[in-house]
Amino acid sequence: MAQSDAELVAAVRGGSREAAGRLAERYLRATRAVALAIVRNVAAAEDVCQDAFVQSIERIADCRDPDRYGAWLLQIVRNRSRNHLRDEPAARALPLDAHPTVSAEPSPHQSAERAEIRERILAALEELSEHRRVILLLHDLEGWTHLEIAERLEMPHGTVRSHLHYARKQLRALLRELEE
Amino acid sequence: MDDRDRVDLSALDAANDSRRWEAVVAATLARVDVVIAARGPDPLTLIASWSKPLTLAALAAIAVLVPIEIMLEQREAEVEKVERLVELSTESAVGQRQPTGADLLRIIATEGLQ
Repeated sequence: MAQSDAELVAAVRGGSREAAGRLAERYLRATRAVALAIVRNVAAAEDVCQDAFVQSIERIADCRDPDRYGAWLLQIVRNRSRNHLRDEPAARALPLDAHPTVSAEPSPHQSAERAEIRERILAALEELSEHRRVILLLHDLEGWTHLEIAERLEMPHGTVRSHLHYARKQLRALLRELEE
Repeated sequence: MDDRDRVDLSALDAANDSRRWEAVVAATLARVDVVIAARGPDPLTLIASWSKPLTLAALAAIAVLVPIEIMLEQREAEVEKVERLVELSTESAVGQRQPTGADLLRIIATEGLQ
Protein backbone atom coordinates (compact mmCIF):
# COMPACT_ATOMS: atom_id res chain seq x y z
CA MET A 1 0.00 0.00 0.00
CA ALA A 2 1.24 3.48 -0.87
CA GLN A 3 2.46 5.53 2.05
CA SER A 4 0.36 8.54 2.97
CA ASP A 5 1.67 12.07 2.59
CA ALA A 6 1.85 12.31 6.39
CA GLU A 7 4.03 9.19 6.60
CA LEU A 8 6.34 10.47 3.87
CA VAL A 9 6.60 13.90 5.50
CA ALA A 10 7.46 12.25 8.83
CA ALA A 11 10.14 10.17 7.10
CA VAL A 12 11.60 13.25 5.39
CA ARG A 13 11.72 14.99 8.78
CA GLY A 14 13.66 11.99 10.01
CA GLY A 15 16.17 12.46 7.19
CA SER A 16 14.86 10.01 4.57
CA ARG A 17 15.94 10.89 1.04
CA GLU A 18 13.86 8.04 -0.31
CA ALA A 19 10.69 9.56 1.16
CA ALA A 20 11.57 12.89 -0.45
CA GLY A 21 11.95 11.05 -3.75
CA ARG A 22 8.49 9.53 -3.31
CA LEU A 23 6.99 12.98 -2.68
CA ALA A 24 8.73 14.21 -5.84
CA GLU A 25 7.28 11.30 -7.82
CA ARG A 26 3.84 12.13 -6.45
CA TYR A 27 3.87 15.89 -6.85
CA LEU A 28 6.64 17.22 -9.09
CA ARG A 29 4.65 16.98 -12.33
CA ALA A 30 1.63 18.67 -10.75
CA THR A 31 3.96 21.30 -9.36
CA ARG A 32 5.21 21.95 -12.90
CA ALA A 33 1.63 22.13 -14.19
CA VAL A 34 0.64 24.72 -11.59
CA ALA A 35 3.76 26.78 -12.27
CA LEU A 36 3.14 26.52 -16.02
CA ALA A 37 -0.46 27.65 -15.55
CA ILE A 38 0.77 30.78 -13.81
CA VAL A 39 4.04 31.71 -15.54
CA ARG A 40 3.03 30.31 -18.99
CA ASN A 41 6.60 29.51 -19.91
CA VAL A 42 7.96 25.96 -19.84
CA ALA A 43 11.54 26.70 -18.81
CA ALA A 44 10.46 29.17 -16.13
CA ALA A 45 7.84 26.71 -14.87
CA GLU A 46 10.49 24.01 -14.54
CA ASP A 47 12.73 26.35 -12.56
CA VAL A 48 9.87 27.42 -10.32
CA CYS A 49 8.68 23.86 -9.70
CA GLN A 50 12.19 22.76 -8.81
CA ASP A 51 12.72 25.69 -6.43
CA ALA A 52 9.29 25.23 -4.84
CA PHE A 53 9.79 21.53 -4.22
CA VAL A 54 13.26 22.05 -2.72
CA GLN A 55 11.84 24.85 -0.54
CA SER A 56 9.11 22.49 0.71
CA ILE A 57 11.79 20.02 1.82
CA GLU A 58 13.92 22.76 3.38
CA ARG A 59 10.92 23.96 5.37
CA ILE A 60 9.27 20.60 5.97
CA ALA A 61 9.18 21.32 9.72
CA ASP A 62 6.79 24.23 8.96
CA CYS A 63 4.24 21.93 7.32
CA ARG A 64 1.66 22.04 10.11
CA ASP A 65 -0.63 19.39 8.69
CA PRO A 66 1.48 16.69 7.01
CA ASP A 67 -1.66 15.04 5.65
CA ARG A 68 -2.13 18.18 3.57
CA TYR A 69 1.42 18.37 2.27
CA GLY A 70 0.10 18.51 -1.32
CA ALA A 71 -2.01 21.60 -0.62
CA TRP A 72 0.89 23.22 1.22
CA LEU A 73 3.31 22.50 -1.64
CA LEU A 74 0.92 23.86 -4.27
CA GLN A 75 0.55 27.05 -2.22
CA ILE A 76 4.35 27.42 -2.24
CA VAL A 77 4.37 26.90 -6.03
CA ARG A 78 1.66 29.50 -6.58
CA ASN A 79 3.49 32.04 -4.42
CA ARG A 80 6.81 31.40 -6.14
CA SER A 81 5.19 31.59 -9.57
CA ARG A 82 3.62 34.95 -8.76
CA ASN A 83 6.94 36.18 -7.39
CA HIS A 84 8.61 35.03 -10.60
CA LEU A 85 6.13 37.04 -12.69
CA ARG A 86 6.64 40.06 -10.47
CA ASP A 87 10.45 39.85 -10.45
CA GLU A 88 11.02 38.73 -14.03
CA PRO A 89 8.13 40.00 -16.16
CA ALA A 90 10.25 39.71 -19.31
CA ALA A 91 10.40 35.93 -18.91
CA ARG A 92 6.77 35.68 -20.01
CA ALA A 93 7.57 37.20 -23.37
CA LEU A 94 10.28 34.67 -24.20
CA PRO A 95 9.20 32.22 -26.86
CA LEU A 96 9.55 28.55 -26.01
CA ASP A 97 12.20 28.11 -28.67
CA ALA A 98 14.42 30.41 -26.66
CA HIS A 99 14.88 27.48 -24.29
CA PRO A 100 16.37 24.69 -26.40
CA THR A 101 15.64 21.22 -25.12
CA VAL A 102 18.24 18.57 -24.48
CA SER A 103 16.17 15.84 -26.07
CA ALA A 104 16.69 14.71 -29.63
CA GLU A 105 13.70 12.34 -29.67
CA PRO A 106 11.22 14.11 -32.03
CA SER A 107 12.21 15.20 -35.51
CA PRO A 108 12.81 18.93 -36.12
CA HIS A 109 9.52 19.10 -37.99
CA GLN A 110 7.61 17.44 -35.14
CA SER A 111 9.32 19.67 -32.61
CA ALA A 112 8.41 22.78 -34.57
CA GLU A 113 4.81 21.67 -34.93
CA ARG A 114 4.53 20.79 -31.24
CA ALA A 115 6.13 24.09 -30.27
CA GLU A 116 3.58 25.93 -32.39
CA ILE A 117 0.65 24.13 -30.75
CA ARG A 118 2.18 24.76 -27.35
CA GLU A 119 2.56 28.46 -28.12
CA ARG A 120 -1.05 28.62 -29.24
CA ILE A 121 -2.34 26.90 -26.09
CA LEU A 122 -0.21 29.09 -23.84
CA ALA A 123 -1.38 32.21 -25.65
CA ALA A 124 -5.01 31.14 -25.22
CA LEU A 125 -4.41 30.33 -21.54
CA GLU A 126 -3.37 33.97 -21.03
CA GLU A 127 -7.03 34.90 -21.32
CA LEU A 128 -8.21 32.59 -18.54
CA SER A 129 -8.15 33.45 -14.85
CA GLU A 130 -5.36 31.91 -12.75
CA HIS A 131 -7.77 29.56 -10.95
CA ARG A 132 -9.17 28.27 -14.23
CA ARG A 133 -5.73 27.73 -15.74
CA VAL A 134 -4.48 25.84 -12.71
CA ILE A 135 -7.58 23.63 -12.48
CA LEU A 136 -7.58 22.96 -16.23
CA LEU A 137 -3.93 21.87 -16.28
CA LEU A 138 -4.20 19.74 -13.15
CA HIS A 139 -7.27 17.95 -14.54
CA ASP A 140 -6.74 17.73 -18.27
CA LEU A 141 -2.94 17.59 -18.33
CA GLU A 142 -2.07 15.78 -15.09
CA GLY A 143 -5.23 13.70 -14.77
CA TRP A 144 -6.09 14.72 -11.21
CA THR A 145 -9.71 14.17 -10.16
CA HIS A 146 -12.05 16.96 -9.13
CA LEU A 147 -11.77 15.77 -5.55
CA GLU A 148 -7.96 15.76 -5.56
CA ILE A 149 -7.93 19.26 -7.02
CA ALA A 150 -10.53 20.50 -4.52
CA GLU A 151 -8.54 19.11 -1.59
CA ARG A 152 -5.19 20.43 -2.74
CA LEU A 153 -6.36 23.84 -3.87
CA GLU A 154 -8.56 24.03 -0.77
CA MET A 155 -11.72 25.00 -2.60
CA PRO A 156 -15.20 23.45 -2.78
CA HIS A 157 -15.71 20.51 -5.10
CA GLY A 158 -18.51 22.29 -6.96
CA THR A 159 -16.31 25.32 -7.56
CA VAL A 160 -13.64 23.12 -9.14
CA ARG A 161 -16.22 21.53 -11.47
CA SER A 162 -17.60 24.91 -12.43
CA HIS A 163 -14.15 26.44 -13.06
CA LEU A 164 -13.17 23.42 -15.15
CA HIS A 165 -16.34 23.62 -17.23
CA TYR A 166 -15.88 27.30 -18.02
CA ALA A 167 -12.12 26.96 -18.52
CA ARG A 168 -12.63 24.29 -21.19
CA LYS A 169 -15.36 26.26 -22.90
CA GLN A 170 -13.31 29.44 -22.91
CA LEU A 171 -10.10 27.73 -24.05
CA ARG A 172 -11.82 25.93 -26.92
CA ALA A 173 -13.33 29.18 -28.14
CA LEU A 174 -9.98 30.95 -27.89
CA LEU A 175 -8.16 28.16 -29.73
CA ARG A 176 -10.75 28.30 -32.52
CA GLU A 177 -10.21 32.04 -32.78
CA LEU A 178 -6.44 31.58 -32.92
CA GLU A 179 -6.73 28.94 -35.65
CA GLU A 180 -8.90 31.16 -37.87
CA MET B 1 -18.64 16.54 -17.29
CA ASP B 2 -16.02 13.80 -17.66
CA ASP B 3 -12.98 12.73 -19.64
CA ARG B 4 -14.83 13.03 -22.98
CA ASP B 5 -14.77 16.80 -22.49
CA ARG B 6 -11.05 16.82 -21.82
CA VAL B 7 -9.09 19.44 -23.77
CA ASP B 8 -6.01 18.03 -25.50
CA LEU B 9 -3.14 19.68 -23.64
CA SER B 10 -0.60 17.00 -24.56
CA ALA B 11 1.59 19.64 -26.23
CA LEU B 12 2.32 20.90 -22.71
CA ASP B 13 3.12 17.46 -21.31
CA ALA B 14 6.48 17.07 -19.55
CA ALA B 15 6.71 13.60 -21.11
CA ASN B 16 7.05 15.14 -24.58
CA ASP B 17 10.65 15.80 -23.76
CA SER B 18 11.37 12.98 -21.35
CA ARG B 19 15.12 13.55 -21.20
CA ARG B 20 14.63 17.17 -20.33
CA TRP B 21 12.09 16.27 -17.64
CA GLU B 22 14.33 13.53 -16.24
CA ALA B 23 17.08 16.13 -15.98
CA VAL B 24 14.74 18.43 -14.05
CA VAL B 25 13.79 15.60 -11.68
CA ALA B 26 17.43 14.57 -11.21
CA ALA B 27 18.51 18.17 -10.51
CA THR B 28 15.65 18.57 -8.01
CA LEU B 29 16.53 15.37 -6.18
CA ALA B 30 20.21 16.31 -6.09
CA ARG B 31 19.29 19.60 -4.40
CA VAL B 32 16.97 17.76 -2.01
CA ASP B 33 19.81 15.39 -1.06
CA VAL B 34 22.01 18.36 -0.16
CA VAL B 35 19.22 19.89 1.95
CA ILE B 36 18.53 16.66 3.85
CA ALA B 37 22.21 15.88 4.38
CA ALA B 38 22.85 19.40 5.73
CA ARG B 39 19.85 19.50 8.01
CA GLY B 40 19.77 16.19 9.85
CA PRO B 41 16.65 15.09 11.72
CA ASP B 42 14.38 17.65 13.38
CA PRO B 43 14.25 17.98 17.22
CA LEU B 44 11.04 15.98 17.60
CA THR B 45 12.48 13.09 15.60
CA LEU B 46 15.66 13.28 17.66
CA ILE B 47 13.69 13.15 20.91
CA ALA B 48 11.66 10.26 19.54
CA SER B 49 14.86 8.42 18.65
CA TRP B 50 16.19 8.98 22.20
CA SER B 51 13.05 7.79 23.97
CA LYS B 52 13.72 4.08 23.40
CA PRO B 53 17.32 4.03 24.70
CA LEU B 54 16.28 6.29 27.59
CA THR B 55 13.46 3.90 28.56
CA LEU B 56 15.81 0.92 28.38
CA ALA B 57 18.40 2.74 30.51
CA ALA B 58 15.73 3.61 33.10
CA LEU B 59 14.57 -0.02 33.24
CA ALA B 60 18.16 -1.21 33.66
CA ALA B 61 18.72 1.31 36.47
CA ILE B 62 15.55 0.15 38.24
CA ALA B 63 16.62 -3.50 37.87
CA VAL B 64 19.95 -2.73 39.56
CA LEU B 65 18.83 -0.18 42.18
CA VAL B 66 15.80 -1.99 43.62
CA PRO B 67 17.76 -5.09 44.82
CA ILE B 68 20.49 -2.79 46.21
CA GLU B 69 17.88 -0.80 48.13
CA ILE B 70 16.35 -3.99 49.56
CA MET B 71 19.80 -5.25 50.54
CA LEU B 72 20.67 -1.94 52.25
CA GLU B 73 17.40 -1.98 54.18
CA GLN B 74 18.15 -5.49 55.43
CA ARG B 75 21.66 -4.45 56.44
CA GLU B 76 20.27 -1.43 58.29
CA ALA B 77 17.96 -3.70 60.28
CA GLU B 78 20.91 -5.94 61.16
CA VAL B 79 22.95 -2.94 62.34
CA GLU B 80 20.06 -1.73 64.46
CA LYS B 81 19.77 -5.18 66.05
CA VAL B 82 23.47 -5.21 66.90
CA GLU B 83 23.19 -1.68 68.34
CA ARG B 84 20.32 -2.78 70.61
CA LEU B 85 22.32 -5.80 71.76
CA VAL B 86 25.25 -3.53 72.56
CA GLU B 87 22.89 -1.21 74.41
CA LEU B 88 21.44 -4.12 76.37
CA SER B 89 24.94 -5.41 77.23
CA THR B 90 25.97 -1.94 78.41
CA GLU B 91 22.83 -1.60 80.56
CA SER B 92 23.48 -5.06 82.00
CA ALA B 93 27.12 -4.26 82.81
CA VAL B 94 26.22 -0.94 84.42
CA GLY B 95 23.27 -2.36 86.36
CA GLN B 96 25.10 -5.62 87.07
CA ARG B 97 22.11 -7.54 85.81
CA GLN B 98 22.24 -10.52 83.43
CA PRO B 99 19.98 -10.06 80.34
CA THR B 100 17.15 -12.55 80.39
CA GLY B 101 16.16 -14.74 77.45
CA ALA B 102 13.01 -12.62 77.11
CA ASP B 103 15.19 -9.46 76.69
CA LEU B 104 17.21 -11.12 73.94
CA LEU B 105 14.10 -12.40 72.19
CA ARG B 106 12.52 -8.93 72.30
CA ILE B 107 15.56 -7.42 70.55
CA ILE B 108 15.67 -10.14 67.90
CA ALA B 109 11.88 -9.90 67.39
CA THR B 110 11.99 -6.14 66.81
CA GLU B 111 13.75 -6.85 63.50
CA GLY B 112 10.51 -8.19 62.13
CA LEU B 113 8.62 -5.12 63.31
CA GLN B 114 10.95 -2.66 61.53
